[in-house]
Amino acid sequence: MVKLLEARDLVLDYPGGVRALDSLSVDLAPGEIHAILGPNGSGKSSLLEALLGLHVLTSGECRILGKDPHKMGSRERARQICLVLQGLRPPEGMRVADLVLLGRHAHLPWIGGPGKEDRRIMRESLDLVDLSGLEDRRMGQLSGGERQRALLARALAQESPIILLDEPTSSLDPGHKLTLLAAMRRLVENEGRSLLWVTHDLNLASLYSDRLSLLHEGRCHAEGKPREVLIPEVLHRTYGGEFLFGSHWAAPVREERPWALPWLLD
Amino acid sequence: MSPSLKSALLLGGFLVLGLSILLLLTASGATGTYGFLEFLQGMGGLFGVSDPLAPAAQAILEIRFWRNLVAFLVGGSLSLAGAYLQGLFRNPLASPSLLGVTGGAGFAATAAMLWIVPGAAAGVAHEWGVQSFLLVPTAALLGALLSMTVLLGIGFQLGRNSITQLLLIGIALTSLWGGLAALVQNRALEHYDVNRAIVAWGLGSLNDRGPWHAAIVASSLLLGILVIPFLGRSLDLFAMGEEDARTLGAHPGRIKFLTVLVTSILSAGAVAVAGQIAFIGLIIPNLVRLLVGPSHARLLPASVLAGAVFLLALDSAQRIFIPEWGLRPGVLLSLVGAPFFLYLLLRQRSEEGSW
Repeated sequence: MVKLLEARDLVLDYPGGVRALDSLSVDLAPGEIHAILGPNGSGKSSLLEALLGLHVLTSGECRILGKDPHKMGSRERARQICLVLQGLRPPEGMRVADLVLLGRHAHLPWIGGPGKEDRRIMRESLDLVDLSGLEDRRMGQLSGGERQRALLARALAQESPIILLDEPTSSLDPGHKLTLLAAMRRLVENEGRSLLWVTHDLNLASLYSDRLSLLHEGRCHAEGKPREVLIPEVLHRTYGGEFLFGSHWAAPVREERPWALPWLLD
Repeated sequence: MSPSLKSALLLGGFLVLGLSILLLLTASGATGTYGFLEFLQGMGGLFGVSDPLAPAAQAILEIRFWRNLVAFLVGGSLSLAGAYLQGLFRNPLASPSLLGVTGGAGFAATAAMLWIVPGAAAGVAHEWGVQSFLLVPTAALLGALLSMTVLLGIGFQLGRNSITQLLLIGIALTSLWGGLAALVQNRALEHYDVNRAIVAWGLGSLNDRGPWHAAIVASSLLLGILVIPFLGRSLDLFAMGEEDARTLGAHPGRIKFLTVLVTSILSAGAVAVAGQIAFIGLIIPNLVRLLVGPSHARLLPASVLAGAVFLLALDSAQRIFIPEWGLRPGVLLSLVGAPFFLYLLLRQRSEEGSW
């Protein structure tokens, strides 16, 4: 199958000799939700940035729709792939509409502002993340969950087939997690986007992703379907400690999906 | 409130502002010995549409006109420069004077003044007539650019979010330029006139401005305004950091370079014709942001207008109400500006760094 996104044998060294990525290979197929898991400092965020071409790699190569991101113009790249970084804090006085319209930057001419078509796409994106009618609100008036969904809407307005999200659910309560994840799934199922997301939550990843990659110290410890990755041996090797395991029927994907909870045996 | 109603209100606001500019221009020009009609006739005489007034009256009116025009343009330039820098650094405390830009321009201009009159005796004011129109502004521009380059060179080496460090570097640079300027002044101590010119320049001056001054600052302001459509949108992309701007398809290096260049030219133009006028670039964009929000498409033009009206109003007010003090614009602004800076600092602290 044609890959939207393909990274082969990525090696990334930060100044000071820290190796963030170590012969890491990752890919993303059309219509897929792929979750990147791993302990703190395992290279998840570095991977997303490297996939976008924001780092100079020590070796290895990335391809976005077959093209080297380092050879793409920044605007051309932004039309193919978008990344919502972790913990973004939009200015409190910024209108929701203006935030989402920032996503249109790569589609606008060099000079001048967004037009009618851009505003239509802005409203459509807000509809898709369940924020219809909030465009005149200020960012400071939104809840954490709404803010995260507004950022997702901004990514949607970018109209790129590939969407990368860095810990989109980490600061949200369960209710807000649910609405964000529902929006994410709608994008893939109804809008034909493909999604690569980083998370610490093994169970959400299992429930909402077609494929998982488990990183450890810049390397890929395991990759495959949730039931192939969430197994005792792999989790113990990656995180240490013990886990409780089980599985449950996930109706939306009509599949048995595993769950794993950290569990101290002492 | 619907967006269309909002933009209508905004437009109305701008119209009111525009009208008050006209009023201020004329009122400030017309107060004193001459009435409004004489003022109109004098302006007509200046631009060759009607007979000029009697030579003495005509001269006074023209001096006032140029003074007002220069105040207007300088206010707009400094305010726009501040708005640009606050957008680039994502910090309301950024302004050309705090980042050492005006200091750099100031030192270079001071050095140029000394250089124009090598071992000069009396009559400096006359001598640094024609050539200083080219030399002092050029020196100020180079000084501003140099200072900005050093600031960015050190600052962006230290890390993406080290705003505090950038401001600290700015403070260090300001002291450095101040020290160098003091050195120049020291060397010129025996030349009373040079020293007087330097000190007066440091307080900011709108006295004896002419068409040349207006032309210099008008061209730098024009340049600053021309890039608003491009930089305005780019700075909006910077609102959540450089890295985020890159994911949206922006080119941070270019935006930083252009912003720094334009800001330096704006500051240099203003400083070259009016000396050191601090704090406009800090105060005005912050007040304007409260009114129109953080979007640069609205913030930048509004800052130009508000800064222009503000400096003109300030200068006119002190000329009308306390003419006997002969206050320089920089003096009043420092008195107002420093407390305002403290207020911003406290407010920012209470909001945990967001604006």
